[in-house]
Amino acid sequence: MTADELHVVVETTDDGVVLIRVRGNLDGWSGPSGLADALEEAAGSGGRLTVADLSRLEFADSTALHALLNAQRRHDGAGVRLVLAGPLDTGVRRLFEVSGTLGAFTFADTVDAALRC
Amino acid sequence: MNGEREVLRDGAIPADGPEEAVGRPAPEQPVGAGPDPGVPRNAAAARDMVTRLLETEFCVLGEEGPVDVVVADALLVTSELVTNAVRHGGGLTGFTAEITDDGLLLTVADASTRAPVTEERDPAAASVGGYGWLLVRRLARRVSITYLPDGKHIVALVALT
Repeated sequence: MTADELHVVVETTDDGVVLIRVRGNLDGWSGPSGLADALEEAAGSGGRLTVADLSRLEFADSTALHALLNAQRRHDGAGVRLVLAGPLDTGVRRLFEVSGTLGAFTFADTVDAALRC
Repeated sequence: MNGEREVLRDGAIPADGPEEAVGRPAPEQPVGAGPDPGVPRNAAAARDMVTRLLETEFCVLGEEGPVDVVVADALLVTSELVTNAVRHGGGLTGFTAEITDDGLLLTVADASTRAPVTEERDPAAASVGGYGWLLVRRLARRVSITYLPDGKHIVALVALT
């Protein structure tokens, strides 16, 4: 995998959960489209919970932040819960801290914890 | 005309606003007289350059924790500036990173004489967009912009302590 690749894998369970696993680097080059599309679809899926697993995200910049903020807004509008699952890489955590957006999202320490939300 | 300007000015560019910030930038800068071998091909390459530089700087320390945060912050600033140069600045025309007594000095050159999109958002309003420059402003100890006839240089100093 080259440094500027982003991999997005979507799993759907029969109890209304969409799990989106993100791996790699999410910046202006890799583009947010894979993640943004998956989140958009999850928000409109009629499910009850979307979990975005960010534990294997190695780097993320404001491109990722914009995609996630958009997704949060869409989920709020659709009445679907969105949980971001860690543990987060230091750089990813700093993105939320420095931008002051920690409060805009619901975080869980792990995917398992997120699934219990 | 060359000259330093205060960066916290009302320099938002309406035609190229934050709503477009999620768009995908051109993968490579236009090639004019031939690519400058010193210019990284994308933000990931620029981050790699900074990572190697900081690894050399910090290798004697071998510490976890604070160093991780310093490196993370430096990479965020690098990524935002380089991405911004391509997305809003008409292409990345130069990039250097050096360690100085004051910290990591990043110089990013682009081909646009327009000011960066500096509109800052209130995070509490949960608005989307415009976070790139906000991150640079918050993470860099100093940011200066020098306007040149054919573009501009943005110099950002990131403290390493």
